[in-house]
Amino acid sequence: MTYLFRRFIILIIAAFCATQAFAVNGTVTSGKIDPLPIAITPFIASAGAENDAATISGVIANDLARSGYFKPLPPDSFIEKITGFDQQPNFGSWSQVKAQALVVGSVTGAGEKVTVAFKLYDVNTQAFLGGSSFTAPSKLSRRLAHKVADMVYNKITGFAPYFDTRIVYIDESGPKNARIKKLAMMDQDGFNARVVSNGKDLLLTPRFSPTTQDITYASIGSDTSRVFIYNIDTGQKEIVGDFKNMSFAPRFSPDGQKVILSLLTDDGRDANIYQLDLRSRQTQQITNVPAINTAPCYSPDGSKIAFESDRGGTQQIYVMNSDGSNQQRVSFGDGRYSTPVWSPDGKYIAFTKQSAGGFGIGVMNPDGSGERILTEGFHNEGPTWSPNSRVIMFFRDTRGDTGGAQLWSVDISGYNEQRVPTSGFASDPAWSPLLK
Amino acid sequence: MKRSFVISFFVHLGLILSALLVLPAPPPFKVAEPTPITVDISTISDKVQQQATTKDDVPDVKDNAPKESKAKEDAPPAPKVADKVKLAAHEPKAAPPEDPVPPEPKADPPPKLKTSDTKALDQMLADDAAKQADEQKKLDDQKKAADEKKKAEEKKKADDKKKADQKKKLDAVLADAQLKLSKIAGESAAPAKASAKTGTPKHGDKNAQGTDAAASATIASALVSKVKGCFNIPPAAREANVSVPIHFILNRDGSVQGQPEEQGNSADPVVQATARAAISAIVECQMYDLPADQYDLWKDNVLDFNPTQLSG
Repeated sequence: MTYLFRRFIILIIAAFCATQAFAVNGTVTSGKIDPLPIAITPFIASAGAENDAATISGVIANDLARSGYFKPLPPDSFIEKITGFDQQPNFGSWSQVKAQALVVGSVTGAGEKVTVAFKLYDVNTQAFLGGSSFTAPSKLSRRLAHKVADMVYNKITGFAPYFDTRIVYIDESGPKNARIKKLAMMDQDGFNARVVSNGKDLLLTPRFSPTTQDITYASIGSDTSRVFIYNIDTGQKEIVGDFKNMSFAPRFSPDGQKVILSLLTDDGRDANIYQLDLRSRQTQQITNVPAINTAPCYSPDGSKIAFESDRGGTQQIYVMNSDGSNQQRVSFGDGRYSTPVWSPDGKYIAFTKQSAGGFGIGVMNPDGSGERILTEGFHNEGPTWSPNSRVIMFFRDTRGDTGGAQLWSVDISGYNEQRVPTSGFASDPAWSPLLK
Repeated sequence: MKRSFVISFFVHLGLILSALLVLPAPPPFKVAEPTPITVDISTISDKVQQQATTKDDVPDVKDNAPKESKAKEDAPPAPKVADKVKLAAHEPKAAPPEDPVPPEPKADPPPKLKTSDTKALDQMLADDAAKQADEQKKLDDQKKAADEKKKAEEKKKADDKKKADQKKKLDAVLADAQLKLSKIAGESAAPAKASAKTGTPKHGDKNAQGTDAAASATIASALVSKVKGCFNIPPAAREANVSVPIHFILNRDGSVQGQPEEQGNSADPVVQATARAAISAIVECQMYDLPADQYDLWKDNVLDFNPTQLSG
């Protein structure tokens, strides 16, 4: 019996080996890096949802195009007209217009709600890659479009999504020598912008919580300096720190339970880094060095803090443990380094670099190696990361009395620099986590 | 013993074939669950997937496996594993390893051949030289006896002339011997070289399965070269070190049979995006122009997509 069983196993192995013997094996290590041609068909609208449908198709195409990884094809080039959500596409006709991916969808209005459904196909293989439907109040139809774009982006690129996010920034108006600065927010594509402060106090450095839709910012009044937490969904505002000395650059810890910031010393000559516990409201000093130590930022795991300091004579980036121990300088290039921001995936630190060429935005590894300048010019400053660590937004100031700050974004490859549309001047952007 | 072996073989072969036939079909193409939104979400039903995979203009086709859609259009059905087993069992190139390979005559030269033949020729050359020397001595004696009065200069001239003739003869014998030696040496060195051959396979080299390794390498290179022209590397794969093997079968006309398949089932979005782009590239590039007489070599293929370089 054992003998028979052995023979049986040997026979199976021999048969398997024989079939494998015919396979040609090769390795493909290169290819094209072109934006993917994608056809986003006009979404089919139910009665009364025509406007929403047109908007949604456009938002999806705009999101994908702005990422730099897609080339949405012009709808007037389409041969086939999709008239029903369940209609089977004629893939030959989409192949003919050079589309490699195809999105079809529908928008259905029902009372004050809108439902968006979509399907994503690979044109070459005719494979169904994914699809879903979302229902939300009608006023959130743009968000539904961002959700669709996020799913398409994730399926095709392999990157985590980032379109359904918001930006808070400082809206600037008035003459250059007397700017009025207000806290404002918008969707990541520049739409739905709105101002949320009156401009009486000087608001600085708004920063998102990594886990919620709370922001923290510094407000400098005539006789006091405060740190606020503001929930942009509810509009609730809370003072979490009231300091006699000037406070700068508050930023949340990764768990959202603490805020790290810098405070001027009593003599006003130096600044050190402090940690503010949001539950106990107790502050704890982290650095104690006679220098300007500011712009602190936690690593995503909370174990380290990057910050800038002029203790060596010029502004440079330092990294320390979150308890203040083991402070090490990591920037050693020519020029001054400031505003370090750890990427959400922990791989890089973005920074502003001032050198003979002006102000540039760059990234480096957390140990300071692998520095790359992504953009450079007269004045670029204040990098903030998209939640998927792929895009950096910053502000760019222009010369002259009529010049002003505007928001821009750049891929971390250094390509695909894009202006983020705002109605007026804007600075100091901060990117939200992905909305839920 | 032989009879029982034959019976056993066919019984087991039958068992395998029946087992393979009743094996469940490959799992259907899985679609990842969508990310939920705060509002109501409903995933598109499987019906969508079914529709997506049916042939153009044939809405009522009920097959729901995307990988079969193209095969049914214009390609013969993919061979079942059982068929492959049969093929393999009768494929002369896949002879059992225990079968001795008949040695080529040139492949096993006797190592002592060169030495012994050289010695024999040396002996032959020595004998010829001795005979020539004896004949010359006799001639000299006859000439001395017949013409003792001739002048010493004339005698010397005649001696020189005959010595030159002798040298010519010896040279001819030597050349002939050298030719024989080089022939023998050439015949013995060639197989020795072949037996010591290592490294990159050349045309004609056989691998363990009996396939032409060099031809396989050439075909693999041709496939890779063509596919990379259609492979749009997903952005995430440009930075991640992913390795995504894709298995696909080609028809004799160079078209892709059925749908290429990722070997493995990773949930990693980078791997999934790479697999999608790779399968799309293989299908887009189809009608592969490969040598028809070597179809067995390129019928069944695996390409590993490891886009470590930014562009080709």
